Amino acid sequence: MEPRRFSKIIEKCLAERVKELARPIVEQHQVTVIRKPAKTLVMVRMRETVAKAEFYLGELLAAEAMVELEGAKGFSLLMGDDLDKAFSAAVLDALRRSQLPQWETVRLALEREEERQRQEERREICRHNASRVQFNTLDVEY
Amino acid sequence: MGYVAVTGGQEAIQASIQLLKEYRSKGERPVGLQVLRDRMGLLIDRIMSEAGLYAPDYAALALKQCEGSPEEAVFLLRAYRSTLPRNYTSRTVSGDQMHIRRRISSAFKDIPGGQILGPTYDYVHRLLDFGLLEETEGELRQWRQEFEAGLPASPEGELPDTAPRVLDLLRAEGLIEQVEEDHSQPCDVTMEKLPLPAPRSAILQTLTRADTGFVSGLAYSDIRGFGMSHPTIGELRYGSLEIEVDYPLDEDAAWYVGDIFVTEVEGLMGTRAGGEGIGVGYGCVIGRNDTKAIAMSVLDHALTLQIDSPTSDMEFVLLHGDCLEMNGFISHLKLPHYVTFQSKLDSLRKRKRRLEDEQGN
Repeated sequence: MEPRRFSKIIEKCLAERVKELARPIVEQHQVTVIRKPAKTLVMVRMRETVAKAEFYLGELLAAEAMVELEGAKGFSLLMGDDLDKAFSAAVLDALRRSQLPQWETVRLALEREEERQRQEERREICRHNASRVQFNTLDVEY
Repeated sequence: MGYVAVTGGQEAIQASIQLLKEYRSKGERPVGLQVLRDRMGLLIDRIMSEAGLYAPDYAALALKQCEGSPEEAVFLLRAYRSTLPRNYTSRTVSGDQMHIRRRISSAFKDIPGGQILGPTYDYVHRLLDFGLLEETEGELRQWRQEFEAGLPASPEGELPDTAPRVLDLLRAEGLIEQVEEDHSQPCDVTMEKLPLPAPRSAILQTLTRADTGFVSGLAYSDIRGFGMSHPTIGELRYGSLEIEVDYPLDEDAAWYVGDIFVTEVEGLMGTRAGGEGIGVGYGCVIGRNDTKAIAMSVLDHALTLQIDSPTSDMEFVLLHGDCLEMNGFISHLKLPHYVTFQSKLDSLRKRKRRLEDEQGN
């Protein structure tokens, strides 16, 4: 599972669930904190359409952490201010990059979570698609 | 202008701050932050946009702290933001990648991907709903269940929520004004003084952070005749953008940070005098705020015109719309100016005496 996919599942996952998945790993292995969980800002860089110029739209609040687990580093940067979730996510990222057998259990759990998120997203799209509109002009066709 | 410091009043100031808490805590029911965040979404969006900080929970906290004053809430968020490090800049995002929840065009009725009204007040009657006085959470829950049940079943297969840009059709036809592409490094007005004339990146950053009322009022004046814009909304889209950064443990890989919701507008502004092609104005703001995004697109285009109009005066537009700066300056007028005002009175009295002496002679 590559970092982009992993991080998207984790970010959209309830904090309690992420912590639950990381708890046995922290209990069974030595986790070294490389970057203490902390709040940070992420500046959003955006491209506009007139001159294709880039500009800064604004910042978002995020929580970051970096840890090491059995020689494998793990990183996390998640929107919001939940430092415990950021720490747990970094532990799971380190697990993902390690050769430890517990990753298989976590991977399956994350894939189930991803499917749940996909279904929720489809429901949201359907809710909005119900407001699709077809305007008709009364006398002129363009 | 010179200033002279004053002292005193510490006890009264403390009492005043206590009174603020007393005003904020009136009534019997607490203001839940979740309630503010989830059910005052448009206000939260406005605060985040003007603060330039996407943090819904903290925007709710700021509103609770200051009795719902937008200008104070923006001040609190900006102040808090200044205490945090900025360790990351996102990969460049574009409105093309938006997961669309609302998308309309007033220029074309048929657009590729279709129009979606989404949540909008455009078609509601502006009549007070007295039924809400008695609304209960149980009723709301039941309504939501019925709403969900009444939705059409999700179709099989792909369910796309992205769409091509409407104006790409006109671009392909060569009907849009040719503008030289700008690939310069963006200027960050939160880190450096706004240069004048401002580069495009600084103009857009300043406008997107500006006070909603200021931007809307200026755009209105421009359209009414103080400027030259005759806008038609080519496309307005609202939805979420996925924000990514480089993954520090493998820089070829991306790391997903979260979604932010934005409103983006491409406004068709008419043809420049002596020019060819339709000029386009661009607006993009944090949150769900059609009016601000449209107004931003009007001002974006107006600032490219070489005409004698307030909305084409870069210094006028860019230096007076920041919520914090404008309200801070107006607000400072309430603070003691005893010495400066007394000196004005002194010179007035002297002048009056001199005139009286002259008349007496």
